[in-house]
Amino acid sequence: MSVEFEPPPQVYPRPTFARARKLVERNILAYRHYWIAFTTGFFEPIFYLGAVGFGVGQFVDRIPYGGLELEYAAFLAPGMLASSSLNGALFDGFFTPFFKLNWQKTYDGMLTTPLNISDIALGEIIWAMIRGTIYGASFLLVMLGLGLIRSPWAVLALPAVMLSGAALSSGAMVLVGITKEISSLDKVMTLIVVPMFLFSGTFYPVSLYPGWLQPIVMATPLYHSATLLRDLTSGAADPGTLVHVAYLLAMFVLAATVASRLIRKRLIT
Amino acid sequence: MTTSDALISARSLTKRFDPFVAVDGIDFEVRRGEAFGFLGPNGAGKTSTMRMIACISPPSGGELRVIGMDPVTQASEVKARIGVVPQMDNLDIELTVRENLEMYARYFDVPREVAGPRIDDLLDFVQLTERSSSKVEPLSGGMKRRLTIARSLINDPDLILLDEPTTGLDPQARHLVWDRLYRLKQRGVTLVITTHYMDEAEQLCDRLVVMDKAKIVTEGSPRDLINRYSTREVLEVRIDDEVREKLIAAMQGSVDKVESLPDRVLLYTENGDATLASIHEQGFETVSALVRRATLEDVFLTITGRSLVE
Repeated sequence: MSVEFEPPPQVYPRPTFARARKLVERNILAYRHYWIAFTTGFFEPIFYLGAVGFGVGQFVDRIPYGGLELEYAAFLAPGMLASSSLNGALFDGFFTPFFKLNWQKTYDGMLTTPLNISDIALGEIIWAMIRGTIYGASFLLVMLGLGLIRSPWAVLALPAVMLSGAALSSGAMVLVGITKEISSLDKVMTLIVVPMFLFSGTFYPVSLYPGWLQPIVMATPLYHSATLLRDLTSGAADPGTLVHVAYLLAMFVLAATVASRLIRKRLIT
Repeated sequence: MTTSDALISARSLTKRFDPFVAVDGIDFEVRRGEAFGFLGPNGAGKTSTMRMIACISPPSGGELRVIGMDPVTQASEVKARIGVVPQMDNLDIELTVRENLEMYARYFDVPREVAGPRIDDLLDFVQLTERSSSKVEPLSGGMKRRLTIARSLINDPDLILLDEPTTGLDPQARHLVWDRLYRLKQRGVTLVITTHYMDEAEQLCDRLVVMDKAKIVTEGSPRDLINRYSTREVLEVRIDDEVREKLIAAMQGSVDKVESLPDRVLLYTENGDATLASIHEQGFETVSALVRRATLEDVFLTITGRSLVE
């Protein structure tokens, strides 16, 4: 029989928060067994703040920023705050979903329940955001203790860390959707994460770059995340700060949608 | 059969992975309460069919209704009412045995007060109560399978899909799984099973379809199929090569079918002992002879052939 059928229309079920929340519950349950691993992402930005901020910072003059003069540690700290949300995104938006998708086949099992791909993707993004936010909140306390918070605008730093986590985690989930090989992990670290961490205005102002390079750096999400947080903790916030908010919001919505579709292509065949 | 009795109905169901056709326009219905089997060699399209029923693979064409719903547009609703035992275990290895069941109860929105006692019962049912706080990794293959079966029952499903449920298990583990599936069947749970083990199909399935090269080639109860495609008994004879051809020629007319295999000759007959006696009366000396009941395996090999299809 060679009857030709119309291919049925593609349907993308919308995620629901009620279903996505189950992923967060699952991850909390799982991390009860792995809580030491959970604490690692907190220390890394603290180590950098110590080594670079207070070590290298001794040799650095004040840095002009948005009409203010910041000592180096106060300039660096919000960059490290942004990178703590990057850690959450990297660990639970990229590494663990990568293994769940390719090795552990965890998602194949979940898909036999009422959860759909979009619920799974949103749930993992929310969880990675929560993880980054926990790191960010602890780091903010450290900044407060060290006197590196200079403005009441800093009360908005926590929601900003959450937004940054949501955007970066969604971006990380897109990478999950396009990587299969174990060697991809190295590529993602060496070609995306480390350069972004070092060069996105985290350690020094982007104005130091030649004119042609600046727009490229300014296109990275960590640049917007670090600048948004720096505007808030230093008090340099102005209407231009909203550009960073808009960028991160747009990235979250767009990347989460793209990630769902990419992962869907891998699992629903 | 009225359609309301059908838990699954498929019309011209097709799955295409261009340019390859995995399922080529098949029709079948699964009734409530029956154990229905998809039998066929590897690559026949069994798993593709199961994945379409399980809402994790959209059909390329035809019609498919599962529990009266569309598995594409009503995926969450359909999945809420089925249990799936996949070919490859995909237990959550970061959780313990009990936590696996607890989380799946959450995914299915089983109320907590129902989930607790149900998990106790299920662990008992699959004999894993003592391992309930163990991680998944150290469990044996048979235990993982049993946990997967328990997991598939967490939502008290109307329908359970089992894709090669005992492939790779040792005989003890297989029998334990069969026993559990048999009990589920007795409780009236609808089972859909794919397998290439004939004994599994014969033990568990009320009705089955044989798939080969993406199509359904025949359908019936195991007994039906044996009656239709084989004889009541099969006589397997080992004999010296010099007289082998003579034996085949001599018996050709007096039995239903003679099949010559490299190591033995199979004679399909209603009465194996009588056939063997007649072989001896004609002066043939056999190295060994075995009379057995015809099995689904005979049916299967008659239909799909003995050559290896990959």
